[in-house]
Parts: sequence; structure tokens; C-alpha cells
Amino acid sequence: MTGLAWLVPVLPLAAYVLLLIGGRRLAEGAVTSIAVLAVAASFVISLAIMIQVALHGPQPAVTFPWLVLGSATISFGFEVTSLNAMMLVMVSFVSALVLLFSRGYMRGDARFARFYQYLSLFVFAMLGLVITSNLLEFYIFWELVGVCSYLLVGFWYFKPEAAAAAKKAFIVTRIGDVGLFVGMILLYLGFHTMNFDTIFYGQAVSSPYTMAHGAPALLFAAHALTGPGIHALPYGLAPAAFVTLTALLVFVGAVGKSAQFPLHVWLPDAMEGPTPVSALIHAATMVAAGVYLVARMFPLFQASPAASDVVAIVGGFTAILAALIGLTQHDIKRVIAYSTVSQLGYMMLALGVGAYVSGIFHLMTHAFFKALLFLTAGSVIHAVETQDLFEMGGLRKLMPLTNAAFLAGALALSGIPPFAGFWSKDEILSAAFSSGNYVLYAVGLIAAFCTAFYIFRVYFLTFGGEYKGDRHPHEGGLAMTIPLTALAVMATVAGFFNTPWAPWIANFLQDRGAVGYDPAVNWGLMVVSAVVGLAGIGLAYYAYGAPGRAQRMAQKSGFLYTLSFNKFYFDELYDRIVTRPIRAIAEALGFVDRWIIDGLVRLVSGGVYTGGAGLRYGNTGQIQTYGLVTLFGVAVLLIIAAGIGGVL
Amino acid sequence: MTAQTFITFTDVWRALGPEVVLAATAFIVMIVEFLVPPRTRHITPWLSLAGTVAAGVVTALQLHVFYATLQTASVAVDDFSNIFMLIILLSCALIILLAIGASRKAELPFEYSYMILFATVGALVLTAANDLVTLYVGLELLSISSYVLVAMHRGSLRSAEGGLKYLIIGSIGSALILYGLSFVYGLAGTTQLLSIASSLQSAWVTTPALLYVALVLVAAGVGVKMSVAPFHQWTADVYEGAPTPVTAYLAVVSKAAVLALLIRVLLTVFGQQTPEWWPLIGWMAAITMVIGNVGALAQRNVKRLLAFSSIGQVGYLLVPFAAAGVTPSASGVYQGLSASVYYLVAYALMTIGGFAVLQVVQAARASEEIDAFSGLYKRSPWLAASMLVFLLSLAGMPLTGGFVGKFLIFLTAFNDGQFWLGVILFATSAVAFYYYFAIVRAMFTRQPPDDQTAVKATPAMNTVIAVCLAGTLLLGVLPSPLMSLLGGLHWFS
Repeated sequence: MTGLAWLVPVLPLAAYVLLLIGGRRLAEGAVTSIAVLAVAASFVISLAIMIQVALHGPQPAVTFPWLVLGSATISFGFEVTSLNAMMLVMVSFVSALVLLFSRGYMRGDARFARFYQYLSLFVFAMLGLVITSNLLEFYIFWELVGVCSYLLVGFWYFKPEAAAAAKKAFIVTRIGDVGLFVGMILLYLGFHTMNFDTIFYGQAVSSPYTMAHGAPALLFAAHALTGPGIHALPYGLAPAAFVTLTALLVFVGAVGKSAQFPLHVWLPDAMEGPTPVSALIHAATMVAAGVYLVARMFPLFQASPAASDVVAIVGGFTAILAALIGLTQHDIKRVIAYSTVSQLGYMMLALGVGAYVSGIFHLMTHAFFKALLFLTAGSVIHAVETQDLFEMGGLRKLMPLTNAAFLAGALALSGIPPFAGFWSKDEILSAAFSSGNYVLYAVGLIAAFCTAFYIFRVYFLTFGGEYKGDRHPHEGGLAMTIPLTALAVMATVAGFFNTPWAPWIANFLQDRGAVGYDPAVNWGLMVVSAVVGLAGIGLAYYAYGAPGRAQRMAQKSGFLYTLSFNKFYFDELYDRIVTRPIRAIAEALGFVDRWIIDGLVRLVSGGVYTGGAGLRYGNTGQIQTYGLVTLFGVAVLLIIAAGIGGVL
Repeated sequence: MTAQTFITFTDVWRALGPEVVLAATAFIVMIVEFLVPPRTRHITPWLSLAGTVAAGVVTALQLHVFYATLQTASVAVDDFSNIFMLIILLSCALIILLAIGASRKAELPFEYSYMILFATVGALVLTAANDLVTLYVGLELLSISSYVLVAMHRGSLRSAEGGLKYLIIGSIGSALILYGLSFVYGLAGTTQLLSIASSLQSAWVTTPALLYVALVLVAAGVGVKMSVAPFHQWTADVYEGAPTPVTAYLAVVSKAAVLALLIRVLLTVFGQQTPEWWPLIGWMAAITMVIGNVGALAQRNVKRLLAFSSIGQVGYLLVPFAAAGVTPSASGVYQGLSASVYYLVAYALMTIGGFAVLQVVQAARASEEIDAFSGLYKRSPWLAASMLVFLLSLAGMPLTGGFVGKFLIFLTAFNDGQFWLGVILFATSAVAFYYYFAIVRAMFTRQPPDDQTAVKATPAMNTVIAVCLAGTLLLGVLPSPLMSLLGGLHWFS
């Protein structure tokens, strides 16, 4: 089955091509069927692959040469490891459900087929990113995923906010990509290869036994720092410094994609896209790609304690920062978006403290419950046609299924047993605690409290009380309720895949030996996590169960409320220190170009018509300027050259 | 020089085969254009195209063939010149086809069909010149023909103005180069490049200052010709004024030829002291990348935007060359050259393709502003999709030739320890997305104002776009064929 793994990304690509050619002429139902069936088939294959990996272990990579550079060859291909087998299943599962959900949500949209076309392309790119065996290929899919995100965030381009958000998302993540690209090239120069295997283990690994992510983490450390496989390091870097530097650069890419501090600003704005897009791309899959990258490169991070610490600290800080901002937002999707940023922070925190399994486990459960929360939010928005929390209310009775689904997602997010989020989040917290990172543990715990508070604030405002609008909200069709039900079930039970008494996922991911740090079970910490979650819910009920109390609380917290409400002014800060100066430079250049030079031309050409003085005479001023600048340039070059030549 | 007193026809053919073919075609076209009645004049560009293709075939046959006796003469027949000639001839053929497709709208008089060939002969001579005099003749032939081409749009004030500006600034460039070369001649006492290199060995010790002056003057003059910052200022004005096919010609053929000149002269004449002066080129590349890309941000006119973007692209082309200077081993230099040439091919294809789409849109909408592209996707999905690929390639998106080219350049820069050049390259590419996306957004997300009719391109134009599109994608998906061709070249020997 693993030999057929290439089919997993190719099927959605085929759907994309079909829709590209015939999409406009097909009925909405046919468009949905093509896309959903393709991705569902990918899901079935992925599932078969995962079962096979569980039974027989991972398979060696299948590669073919792409580019020959001197003695080195860059090859493309795919491979199935336990990590990406699991990711394939998760991504194709959530994608199929979101594609189905969109049938109801996007009904009647003028560009229905186009929407499915973009989504299929995205699914292809995401699955390709997961299955690749090569860093350069990974980067190519990474960029493709970014382009799809750009297209989908800006799907409703007639909304100026959507167009602006699409651009912001693209450019902010590109900043991260600079880091990833530089890190990738450095790794290539150090190891003369782009294959993950060869980077980590010093040779193309043919035996499946050594391929797993298992014990080789340490093997890599030895290989990278002292091993014979390593070439002369660029810039004469010491091996340890080289590993730390490349790990940090790779992490910069992950920071951009996974919206970690300080590049977190794009994700909440990306909520301008259609809600199914938010669910799939900006919650379950693409933003998790950064976490996946760190997990994929785990041996590299393991080899560098300093880089791991940075990952943990950035993750922890992002978790608390986004949770604090989420406390006060008015837009239902923005609250969930900040919650995504915060949860991604938890995953980074886990990987940073070395808790490999916990991080991936949380990645999986989060994909289920966050997709669920977004889709229920979509169901709500579809019904009440507003995103403002304070214009909703009372939907519990009007939309019982959505209510139940949202409640399942909210409980999972809050970490209340036995819902999925409890098991994974608790693992992360106990990993932080037992690895001795008490500050990070405390930060995570406070963030968990805030999380429970803000998500139940949303719940009470949306579903509790009385409906404040004048529409008649009702459930969407089957296409919307089936995915909600499926995800709600997963959000409820997915935690049992990796419980202290039955650690299936841990066993699956570590079938060739322990990876990273696996905390011992600590029942006391579990109780603390659960209590903190319940306390957050209790406070939310106290504040928003009765009208008016919340305003008083907001007034009392005054300055802090304003700070949180304005997202700690990050957007304004970046605008001041980055955007404005660059725009000022561009505008200054444009000003010279448009007014001074163009103005002279106009003056002159005006003169031609009136006085007939002739282009020749008038234009000399401008040409003189150009000549003068040229002369100036020559002078500067001469001075530099004189410096080089030792004349000066 | 050996005792070669008689120059046989075979010698001339071996040394200047493509140039001879092209020049002969140019004269034939000139006579035909003069003799035939106005109604049948439209065949002249097709003759030029045939001549260009024939010259391309002659050049391709010369690949990997090395004539040792000619190396010491005034013309070098080596793979370095062959590969540049092939790029120049391919681009020239595409541009003639572009002009054919546009001729009715661009109002180009048919004189262009031989002027462009004369310019190209100059460009070919420039890439192969192994002697200062030959080199200067090639340069002037290219330049003077280009001045005429820019001003060829009769009745357009902007075209005339562009031509005049190009003439003045271009002459300053030529003068700088000539002045620099005169120092070289004065110090070496010979005009043959290889002899100069050996004669200058002592001059590096005795009078390094004069050599640096010569180097700077040549670099500055070349900088003017191929719009390297800070000598780039004329670019936007001239590109905007010139007829679009000519703009494409300036952006691709002129730059390629002058780049070849820069590389050959610097490596041969000044090659000995590469580690000393390379920062000069490095800084020029860095400034050019920044100025070109930042300058493009403020542009609303697509031609001006592409002009600034082409300035930035020249910066990228210089990076491997600048970086290779640090490790002056032959293999390092060749690797840098491979990266540059790979990117040059991609650059030629995506730039000509982009200008072809611009020409169609400009003809349909009588405007070169970004707004003219509004709703192009509705009016012609084919053109919009092609333009998207060209822009993504210029911006360096994976799966396009632009990405692989930039990747190779980046790799060279890093390999040679020029971390900073690589980072500037990548950072400016990130900026580039911003302005390319302005066009993309207009094409895909804005409504066409009122005119909803489909935009149609002529068959010739569609051919140009299709070739450029196929090439851009092929270079991005399957880089091996071109890479192995470049890897197997015997650059200078």
C-alpha cells in the first residue's frame, strides 16, 4: 500500500484539474462530489497506509533525481514514516469533511466551482508537503500551500478587508520563509543533500528499521557534531553552532507559517476568508505545517538544546499572549483564531521541551476540535449572518445540533475530561512540569484558564440567553450537519487514542525506540489541569450567564481590558516600525519619479506645444540630472576602489 | 599572435559564422524592404526571423567545438560566447515574432526588421570579442541600432524623447567604457585581451591605482548600459517611451550581451586580482537589487514597473559573478556562470512573455496602467494565466524557471560564503511579490470596467506567449536538461 502513497496527493490534484477544465459547466452537486470523492479516496488510502505502517513499520523513500549540481544530486520523491502516515490520515479526514461542509456554506456563490478548485489544490499541496522525503520539495509545497491560502483568504475579493488580509498573510509568512530557505541552503551546504534521511543519518537509509524517527535523534546529534558524514561546514562554523543556527532558521519558517509570536499578526486577519477555509487551512492543516516542520526536523532540534529552548519559550509566550487577546474580542471567528494561535503555541512548547509525542498528539486532537469549532461557528454565521458575538444569543434552542457540537469542541479546547483536548494538553503541561520548566508550566496553566474562559464566553454569548437578532436561525442541510457530527465525535473520543493506560499513538510514533521526552503519568497534574479548565468555565458563566455583569468586569479591569482588546497593539507597532518606513521610501522614490521628473517632462512637453521651444532644450535639465548621478556613481565607485586597492 | 598572415574564408566562417549569417540577412532584408511595394512589406520581418533561426543553428553547431587559433585572435569561439549567442538569438527570434504579432498595433515601421538584426550582430560580436577594438565596435553597433529602435515609433513624442535620452545616456556609458579601456591599452600596450592579461601582471604591482580607475570606468559604463544602480535612472523613461517589442529587446538582448562583455573583460583582463575587487561588483549587485525592487513598488504604469523589476533582475544576475570572485577557482567560477546563465534563460523567457501579454493588453485597452489589466481573467483566461506564470516566475515562485534560477544563484552565493548577498536576494524577492501581485490582483479579482469583449491576440503573439510559457514552466519543473548542458560546457577553453 505504501507504494501507492503517491496517489494520496495526486487524487486531489486530479480533482483540481477536472474542476479547472469543467468546473464552470458542472452543477454544484457534481463539483462537490468530484472534490469530496477524490479526497475521501485519499483518506481511505491513507488509512490503509497507516495500518500497514502500524503492522510492518515505515517504508524506505521512493526517489528520482531532479537536479544534478556538481557531485551532489537533488532528488524528489516520497516516503512514509509513522509521523507522516498519521498526518496523512488527519489531513485527508478533516479536508474531506470540510469540503462536504462547504457544499452547504457556499451554496449559490457565483464562484462555487472556483472555490472547490482552490480547495482541492490546497489539499494536494498540503498532502504533498506531508509526504515529501526532501527538504527542497517540502519548501516547494510549503510555498504552494501559501499561495492557496492567499487565494482562499482573498476569495471574497470584493471585500477590501479580505484583499488586505490575503496580502498581509502572504507577506508576513514570506518573512518566515526567508529563514526556512536560508536554513535549508545551509543544511544543504553542510550535508550536501536535501533528503531528510541523509541529513539526519548521514546516508540514504534503505533499511526500514533505521528510518523511523526513533533513537536516530541521538544518532543525528552524533553524526552532525562529529560524524564522518559531515562535510566542511560553511563559514567555518563549529558543528554545534551550525546545528543551532540552522535549527533556528528553520524555526523562523515555522514561526511564520504557524503564526507564532512575533509573526502571529496575520492569522486573525485571515479570518476574512470563507469560514470553511478558516476551518481547514487556518486551524486544522496549513498552520499546523509549521509544527509539523519542527516535528519532521526533530533530530535537528534535539541536537541543539539552545534552539529547543527558543522553540519552547516562543511557544509558551505565544500561548499566553494569544489567550489573553482572545479574552476580549467581539468577533466569533477572531476569538477562535486567537485560540488557534495559542494552541499552536502549546504544540511548539511541547516540541521545545522535547515532548515529541505530546506535541503531535495535540496537533491531531486540535485539528479535530478546532475544525469543529470553526465549522460550528460557520453554521452559526450562516444562520444569523453576523460575526458579532453581542448580536447573537439563544441559539441553544434554535440550533440544538450545532449547540451540542460547539459544546463538544469547547469542552475539548478547555481541556475538560474526557474530551480530546484534555489528554493532549495535559500531556504537554505535565511534560513542561516534569522536565523542570516550571515557568513554562505556569504560563501554560494560566493560558489554559484563559482558554476555558474565552471559549465559554463565546458559548454563553452565542447559545445562551435570548436571541437578539431578527432572523430565524435554523440548522443547515445534511452537508453541514454530517461533518459537524463526525468532527464532534472525534473531538470527544480522539483523546482515547493516547491515554496513560493505552498510549497507542505514543507506541505508533515510537515503534523503533523512544523519541524525545515522554513524561511519566502524573495524576496530580491531571487533576490540576481539569480544575483550572472548570474554573475558567465557571468564571465565564459568572460573567456572561447574567447580563450586565461582564461590562462591570471590563470596566474594573480598565487598562488591561483595553490592552487585550487592542491585541497588545502589535499591528500598530509593526505598522510604525516596518510598513510605514518602507512605504515612505517607496513613496519618496515614486515622488521623485512622478513629480520632479515627470513634472519636468510635462512642463517641457507643454512648452513644446505652446512655445515650440523644442524638446531638446527643455529636457536637458533632466538628462543632466541623470548624467550627474552617473558621474556621482563613478566617483563613489572610484573611492571604494581606491579603498580596496590600498591607495587611500 | 601567430604567424597567421592569410585569413581564409574558412577562418572567417569559423570565427564569425552566426554574425555573417545575420548581417547578410540584414542587408537582404534592407534591400527587400526598399524594393517591394508597401503592401507586401509585411514579409520582411519573417525574413529576419528566418535569418535569426539560421544563425541560431550555426551557433548550436559550434557548441563544444573549440578553435585554438582563434582564441588568440580578435574573436573567441568558445562555449561562453556560444551559450550567450544562443540566448541572444533565441530572444531575438521571439522578439521579432512579438513585433510581427504586434506590428499593426505598435505602428512600428518595417525598418525595425533589419535594425534589430544589426543590433543583434553587435550583440553577438560583443559576446565573442577577444580584442578591445572588436569589442567596442560590437558595443557601438548594438547601441546605435538600439537608439534608432527606441525612437522608431514615428509620431510618438514619448518614443522620440526616449530615443534621445537613451542616446545621451548611452553615449555617456560608451564614453566611460572607452575611457576605461584606453587606460588598459595604455598600460598593456596591446588590445588583445589575453595578451593584456599577461602584460598587466607587472602593472598590478607598479600602478594598481590606474588599473582600478580603468576597472571602475568599465564597470560604470557597463552599469549604464545594463542599468545597474546607481546608473539605472534612464531605464524607466526609455522603456516607457520605446515600442514594447523594443523594450523587450533592451531588457533581454542588450542586457545579456553587455553582461557577457562585463564577465569576459573582468575575468580575463582583471581576473588576476579578483579577490581584491569583487566587493565592488557585490555592492553594485546589492544596491541594484534593492533599488530595482523598492523602486517598482511605487509604479502604476506596468511598463515602468517591469523596467524597475528588470533592474532588480540584473542585480540577481550579477550575484553569482560577484560571489565567484571570492573563490577564484575555475570550477567555482563556472558554477557561478552556470547559475547566471540559467537565470538569464529563465529571465529572457519570462520577460519576453510578460511584455508580449502587456503588448496585447495595451493594444486592447490603449493604456499601460495596472488598471488596464483589470478583469483580464474574464476577458482572456489564457492571457491572464500566462501572465500569472510569468509574474510568479519573476517573483521566484517554485515550479517556475525563476525559482530554480534564483535557487542556483542563492546556492552559489552561499557556497562562496556571500551570505549577505543571498539574503538580500531573497529579501528583495519577497518585496517583489508585493508589486507583482498588484497586477495579479487586477487581472483576477477586479471587474473589467465596461468593455466585456474578449481580448484576442494574433497567432504570432500567441506563439510567443506559448513558447515563453512552456519554457518558463519546463525550466521550473525539469531543470536537468539545461543544467547538464551548462555543466558540460567548456567555458573559456
